[in-house]
Amino acid sequence: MNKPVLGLLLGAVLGAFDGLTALVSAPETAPQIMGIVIGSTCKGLIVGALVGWYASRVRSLGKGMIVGLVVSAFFAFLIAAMPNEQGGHYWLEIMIPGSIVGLIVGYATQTFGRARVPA
Amino acid sequence: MAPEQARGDASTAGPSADVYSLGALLYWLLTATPAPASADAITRGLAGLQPRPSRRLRAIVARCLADAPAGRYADAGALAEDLQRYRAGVAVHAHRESVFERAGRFASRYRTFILLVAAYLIMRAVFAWLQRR
Repeated sequence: MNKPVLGLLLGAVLGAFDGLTALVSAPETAPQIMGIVIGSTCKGLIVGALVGWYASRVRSLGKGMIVGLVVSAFFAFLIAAMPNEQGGHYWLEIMIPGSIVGLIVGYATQTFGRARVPA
Repeated sequence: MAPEQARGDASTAGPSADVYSLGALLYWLLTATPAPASADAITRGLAGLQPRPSRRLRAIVARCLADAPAGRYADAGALAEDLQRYRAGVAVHAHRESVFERAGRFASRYRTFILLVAAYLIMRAVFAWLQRR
């Protein structure tokens, strides 16, 4: 499996899982859980694709993890910026775990998956 | 020199004699002393090192230095393959691992990944706990 595909799959799975954990960390969001999971999965797909694409071009564990962290934190920020029904925000609840997910995807795409063969 | 060569037994001397020589070289690199003749002395010599080499590496050396040619790697290629497995952090043919050794090797090999997953789960647990307070 090449690195972008690995990033896509891992991003989608971890994104969906991350969305589902809202049931535990913020039970009041249960009525919106489908939207949360779909949004989180889409975020994971985008982050995974970008981080996997980067990993297929740059072989550096440190850089790959930083890119994963920054890209994931950015998309988590966009989601966290959307207010909930009470007008509040889940900044930390979304951004911290979301950023760690980016680190995991960055690490996995640098460590596993088939790298691009140079021409 | 392999024991069968030392005995002048040309009929049993083959590629495994080269493996013995490579094992003796590996033993010398690890201990800075020549490889002893007996298996017990080899085991003691490797186990007494500080820092002690891993069981997998000790097993590789011990297999190279087995007294009987049949107890060694078939040829240098088989030895090289096991050394590559050792360097890659996967199980080696020379050593049968216990469940705990396997778990330890897995944890060591994927330490960063495990730490990241643990950090994520701890973070989620902290937020869930804060939510319930």
